[in-house]
Amino acid sequence: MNGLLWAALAAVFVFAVALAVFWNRLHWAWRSLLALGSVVSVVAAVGVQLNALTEAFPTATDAVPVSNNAGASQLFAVSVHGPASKLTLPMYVYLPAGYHDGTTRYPVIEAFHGVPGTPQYWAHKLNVKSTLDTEIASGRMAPTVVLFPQQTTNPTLDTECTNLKNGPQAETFLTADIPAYAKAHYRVRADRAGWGLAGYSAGAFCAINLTLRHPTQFAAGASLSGYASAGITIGDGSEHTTNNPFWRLKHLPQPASALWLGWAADDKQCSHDSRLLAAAAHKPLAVTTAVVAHGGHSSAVWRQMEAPAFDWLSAHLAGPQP
Amino acid sequence: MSLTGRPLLALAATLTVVVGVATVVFWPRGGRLRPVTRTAGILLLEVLVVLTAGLEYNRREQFYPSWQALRGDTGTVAVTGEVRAGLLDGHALTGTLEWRPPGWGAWHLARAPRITVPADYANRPDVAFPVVLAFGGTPRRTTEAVTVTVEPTAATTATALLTLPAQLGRDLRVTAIDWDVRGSAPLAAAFVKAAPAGLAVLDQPDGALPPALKAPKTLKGLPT
Repeated sequence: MNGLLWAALAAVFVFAVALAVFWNRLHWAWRSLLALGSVVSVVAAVGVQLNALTEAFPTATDAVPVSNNAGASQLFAVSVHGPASKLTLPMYVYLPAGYHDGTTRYPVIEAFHGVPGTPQYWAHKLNVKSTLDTEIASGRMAPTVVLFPQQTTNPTLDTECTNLKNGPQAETFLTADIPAYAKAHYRVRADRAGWGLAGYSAGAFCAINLTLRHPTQFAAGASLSGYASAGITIGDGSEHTTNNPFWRLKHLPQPASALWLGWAADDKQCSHDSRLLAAAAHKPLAVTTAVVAHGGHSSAVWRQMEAPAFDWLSAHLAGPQP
Repeated sequence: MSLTGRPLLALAATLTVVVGVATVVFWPRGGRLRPVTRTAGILLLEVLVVLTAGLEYNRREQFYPSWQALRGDTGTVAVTGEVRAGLLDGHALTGTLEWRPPGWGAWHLARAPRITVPADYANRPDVAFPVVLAFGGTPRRTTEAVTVTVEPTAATTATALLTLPAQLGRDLRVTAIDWDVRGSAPLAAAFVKAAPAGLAVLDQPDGALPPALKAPKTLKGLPT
């Protein structure tokens, strides 16, 4: 538990005691003030705890530790300025062990967070660095550069990785600016075969939608508890058509790409949507499905799916280029 | 009692009301213990309000559909698979191998398919290798792929050749995705078109093959 939560709980307790002890001696205005303080402190404690669960507003103490061991893998934060989208947003970068030793160009996976959420969720709740380290060291996954971009300018604004009308151009940022930045700053593959997408929850929708929308840029996508529709208003009605994966599968030619759809059997919406997408897919689109027995829409489910999803993605992307 | 059912929500809501009323009723009473009873009433009420709201929110959004889910129990493990050994693994696979699997006659090729494997094929017994399927040309040994060179005749059909991937998978450790199919003959394109989704790509650029990997982790439900 973090210090902020303890502070909020202490405030809850202090206000309760103050109300109990001083009630009879106080003017009604002071009583109201104490009661208000009680309510505010409870709301604050709940808010702090919900934020700790979703990592929607990370605090400075949540920063991801940087490994200084030269040969080891690294996870660190950068700030990406996107000339195409005119957005400047933070991004976490995973460089595999041995990155600094050679001249290899690595395959790339862009991994999207849920809503509310931030790239920090991958690092803290899903232990992504140790999962990637393990899968790569074991040879089940090829050494890969993994990017964890932030998908919105404001944690309360859900972009679903689309270009919102009169809002942030998240899709342009994620599919034009981030690839350009990665190719300029890291030794990564430049071809479609070497680029894949992944995501959990709303980020899984992003991975599915962008894999279908940009088949010339991304060869494969992995969805951890994803949806068949955006569930937001984009402003141009495209949430019903071109930004709706189910509509795309039904009405547009399907790309020669690969999708991994994972869900928990007791996660009703994601289970329904993922099955819907899997049933609508046909050649040349290849779909692989995976089911977690139970666990709902939670980090436990995504931790379980993480290694299988990344292993699958790596097998469907081109390998490191010597 | 189900975590997302009405009974639990009703119980929490009822308790909230009861504690709320009791706190008000006992507010002026309690004698010397009054600060303690009042504090306890307030804190209990606050906990119950948060609990009831939380239950309702979870009931609507279904983040944790069961107590099991709330505990983080997924009833599933990620198991490490194994790459199945090929029937030819024990043989000396240096140089070019003339491959005559059962039923290859149905392919109506000009000669038996020729296979080369990477030099370290035998030294990596737990890895599945990517495949290059060449229609015509000279067999070429590569460092990263199993190559199969076929010389079709006029009688060779793409449909007949669809049995080749399974035969190869039985005899050698190879992947069943993103095979690089090379050759300008219409048969090469027809094979890619007829193959299952994801199996084959026509004329990939050099170096775009998937990596040689160990078997992926997959999800497996635990017995309940």
